[in-house]
Amino acid sequence: MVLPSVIAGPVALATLRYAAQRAGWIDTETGVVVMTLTTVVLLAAVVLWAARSLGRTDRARREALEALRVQSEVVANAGIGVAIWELDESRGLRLASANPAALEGLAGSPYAMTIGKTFREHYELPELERTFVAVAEGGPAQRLGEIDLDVEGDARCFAVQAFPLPGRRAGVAFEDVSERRRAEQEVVRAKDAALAAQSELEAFSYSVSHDLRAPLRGIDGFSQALLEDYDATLDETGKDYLRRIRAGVQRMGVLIDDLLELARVARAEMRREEVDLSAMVDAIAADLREAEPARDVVLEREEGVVATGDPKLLDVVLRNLLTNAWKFTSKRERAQVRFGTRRGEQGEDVFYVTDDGAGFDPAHADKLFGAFQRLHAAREFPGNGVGLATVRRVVSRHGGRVWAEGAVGRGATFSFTLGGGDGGEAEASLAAATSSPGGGPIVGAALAAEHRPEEHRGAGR
Amino acid sequence: MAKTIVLVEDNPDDEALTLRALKKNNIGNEVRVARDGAEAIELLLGAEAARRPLPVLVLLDLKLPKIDGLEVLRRLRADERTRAIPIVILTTSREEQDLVRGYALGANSYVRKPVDFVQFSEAVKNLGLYWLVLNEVPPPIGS
Repeated sequence: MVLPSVIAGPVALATLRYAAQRAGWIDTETGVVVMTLTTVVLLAAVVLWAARSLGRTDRARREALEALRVQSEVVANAGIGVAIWELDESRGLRLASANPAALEGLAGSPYAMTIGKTFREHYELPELERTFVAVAEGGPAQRLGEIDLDVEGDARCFAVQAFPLPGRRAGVAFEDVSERRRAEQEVVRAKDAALAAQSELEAFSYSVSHDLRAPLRGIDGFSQALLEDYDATLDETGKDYLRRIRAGVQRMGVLIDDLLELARVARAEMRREEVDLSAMVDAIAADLREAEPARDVVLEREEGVVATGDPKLLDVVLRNLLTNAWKFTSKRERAQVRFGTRRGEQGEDVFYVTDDGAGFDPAHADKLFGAFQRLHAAREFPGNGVGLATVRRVVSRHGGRVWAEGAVGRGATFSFTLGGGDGGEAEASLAAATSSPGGGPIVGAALAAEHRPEEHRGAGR
Repeated sequence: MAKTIVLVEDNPDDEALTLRALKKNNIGNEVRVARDGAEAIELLLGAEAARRPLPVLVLLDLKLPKIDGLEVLRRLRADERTRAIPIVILTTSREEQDLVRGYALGANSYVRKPVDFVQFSEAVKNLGLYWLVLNEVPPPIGS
């Protein structure tokens, strides 16, 4: 476009000049001056335009070179092996180039890469060769998942990807994922061990329950037998001793049951359902009233309180809290117990059980939820201190917290939240850790190939 | 016709207490005791059993040496002679699986032995009253 006009321009002007001179419009000198000036201007314009054009081309070339340099730096320094295989005339794959990671990674092993050698000369892997050939011929990029290779007697695992490149080439990116595979297997092993330990514990709890109760029943039974059958020969002290024995046995029975419940609550599988807590409170209160019909307890409970969690475990929580409320208000003629819900600081649901009973010294509040910790003497209020530990276990399994407020002689309020997710559920996190994606993270050239599939698909022509 | 009770119980303390409870509650039937699963099978299905009338009630513990309680139950129910005898499982086990399997294998009743002896005695009395007095015994096979 430019060149013709650079030639045509002066020629046209020259013709015009001659014509103008012959016609007498202008004389020779003017003609020459005009010609010269116009030619100079034209040439200057051409030079300017050429310079700019060259400048642009140069910049583009520099940028392209820069990009290329960056890319080859990436490939050279990536921790991932990148190799380029070329299809030669006889359809043999030859190693055209490989980055340091590829060469070093397999160096000294039966799989060491040598530029220029064919695939067959390298490896005895016909399936893989066929795949690479197909890709080099313009086939689609392949994510080959994990391939096990024995490198220097060491079982290693590689995540391999192949993608077509222009000029009947296949680019292969591979990463040593042996470590990650080992870590995954460790997690699976740990999980299996945990599950095995869990079922051992279950079997243990079962026999503890049975084996501990049997002798207790014997102790209790024969003490009672003594009381009944030897009533005449025993004095009051003797009978008192026997009654104490029986009382001790009962307490032990309750303790065993509570401990077993704590163990069960800690390992039971959790379900997540909508649970009507108001209805649950009603049912528990009915049981408590039936057990102690003489007690006058006014229960105020909020309507329609619903929570998401495991119904059996939540029943354990409410049963423990309400039983405590009943128990610690036993010295009041008429006891007040309230169950309800309120909004917490972060907008979460807080459930609470309040009573107007004996309360506790808040200075020792932190001890309340420890197993076997009690803040009251057994003769004042019976109990073994396992109930609240159980409550805490269930609440934390739901991802929530439990806390207590109170004052001596002025009742107590036990509040708990149930979180949103599975707090400390080992299974959930183990499951997440053992799920493994196929190819692993492969960057640089491989990603570039994936992003521009069209360009590469035509490469094998 | 004498109504006998068979008690299958391996624990000597529990045996003594059960017998005492039965006696205390005026359940004067003859009680024959088997102390492990094998003895129970022998007692109820063995050679001698054919010559005696069937017991009207079997109190069966689950945790037994040699052959365990649920297996004894299975075999008793599998045999025509003992298929209909009232069998009450009397055990410490609170495991739901035992409860389910006990009923699935054909036990008539499942009673847990409480730790408290008074309660235990109550339970034995109630069992006795129900199964020996109130309940109609199934007719013996082939009579």
